[in-house]
Amino acid sequence: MTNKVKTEKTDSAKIGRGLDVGTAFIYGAQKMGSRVNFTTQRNAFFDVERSEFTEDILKGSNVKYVLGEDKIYVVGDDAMKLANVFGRSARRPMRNGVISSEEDEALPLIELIIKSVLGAPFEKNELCYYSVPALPVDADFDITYHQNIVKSILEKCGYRAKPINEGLAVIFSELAEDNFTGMGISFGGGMVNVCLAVMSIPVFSFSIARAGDWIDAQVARATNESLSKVATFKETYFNLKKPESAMTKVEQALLIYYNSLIEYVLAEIKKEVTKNSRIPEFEKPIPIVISGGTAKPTGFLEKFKETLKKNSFPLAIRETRLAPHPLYSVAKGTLIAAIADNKRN
Amino acid sequence: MDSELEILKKIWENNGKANIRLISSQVGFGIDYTRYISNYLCREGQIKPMADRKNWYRITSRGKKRLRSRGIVKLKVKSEKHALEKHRGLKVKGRETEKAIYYLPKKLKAKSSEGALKKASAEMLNKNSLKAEDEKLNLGRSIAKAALLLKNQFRD
Repeated sequence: MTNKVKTEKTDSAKIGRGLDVGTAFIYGAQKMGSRVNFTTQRNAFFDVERSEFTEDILKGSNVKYVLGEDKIYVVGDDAMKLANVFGRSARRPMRNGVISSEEDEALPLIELIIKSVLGAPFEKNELCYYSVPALPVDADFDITYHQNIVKSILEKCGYRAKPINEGLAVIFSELAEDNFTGMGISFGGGMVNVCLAVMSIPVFSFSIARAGDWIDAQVARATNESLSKVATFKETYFNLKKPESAMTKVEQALLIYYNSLIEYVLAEIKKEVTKNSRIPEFEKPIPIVISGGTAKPTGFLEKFKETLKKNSFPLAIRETRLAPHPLYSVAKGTLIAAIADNKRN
Repeated sequence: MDSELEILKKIWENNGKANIRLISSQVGFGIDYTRYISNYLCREGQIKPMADRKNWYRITSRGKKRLRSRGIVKLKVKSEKHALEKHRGLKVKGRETEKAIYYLPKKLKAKSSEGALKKASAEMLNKNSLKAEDEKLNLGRSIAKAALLLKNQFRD
């Protein structure tokens, strides 16, 4: 048994790690023999005043927390639960796919979350591919700062870090059978990332600064509910197939904004394909693969296909499918990139 | 610097008096939180509510003393140069010149929240209290196959 564990550890050290740095969740992926270990931490925190009383309560519970100078930071899913209890919103170290400039504590907390997801490397300079968003088409910011900060965190942890586009990671993860040719769309928390690739080479990639968080914000505003409450409901119970007549006010609002988001994303893809002169002639219709937490509710794929059918699309599509594990798809893609890179060298 | 000191400092900076809304906007705390801390400072005698203005506070000598002891505010002392000029019989226009003394610039007792958080985070990680959730999936073979195909793509 010990030998097996040792062998698995050595193998893993050779092949590297994958990391999906998402606005809502951070996922790590690591191959251990025939299995892949996916680690998850919600990228959110909630601060409460530090006192002996609060510390005692938290010590006796299973809540994940960090002690600050005068505050206690509850991290992960418990932050959302606590935010719901207090009727407030959980704080987020990232916004729109990149490190938030509005949160003073963003950097130490994101470092902490990444460390908890990846753990220590098995050997110094173990290769780790991490996801980064593409440049947004509808927002004015670049990703250089975010990319470099994540890189420095990983290097501080002892990894050799390499960035990979989030949409391309979806293609690596789900389109191996199609020779890595097709379109990968990641519907995340802060952004939607789109990438079109031919034989693993990106033709174009871009991001849209409107995704799950945007839906939550619009629904919270329309229904006067807290953001955390809307997000929790959306992730846990929301079903896009439910008849509209049986839907509650929040569900109706969610449906409206889901429809709006899908239409907006497809319109942006159409715009990009039309204006891009470098689109190659595809021999056969291409597949579209969808991933990400925002695509997880039941009925999302059907709604996407329905909207795609309604609108004329400039590329011939063979099939549209949802990744078998939509939450892990980007992390899996980054891991594949790390393994391939190590094998190449 | 902790919340109490930040609020005290803001009151000091606004000529020794400020209202809750002003402090809240300048320090960046919520109004309720600012009121809560201000009430505490009132109880400690470091600030006092102004009788003629609602939600206004003025800093007391005890509050000023606390800020001075932490080296957060500068003190006015007679300049040595001024004294020398006076000794030599030169004419000086102003009565006294300001010289700023900042106590403990390198060893401030109040630590920044970021530093404290980093220290705490290392401690917490060692105790595994921030353990990530994990799920093992039988995807090893498909991943290895995809990586091999990808490696061949790179080579081609």
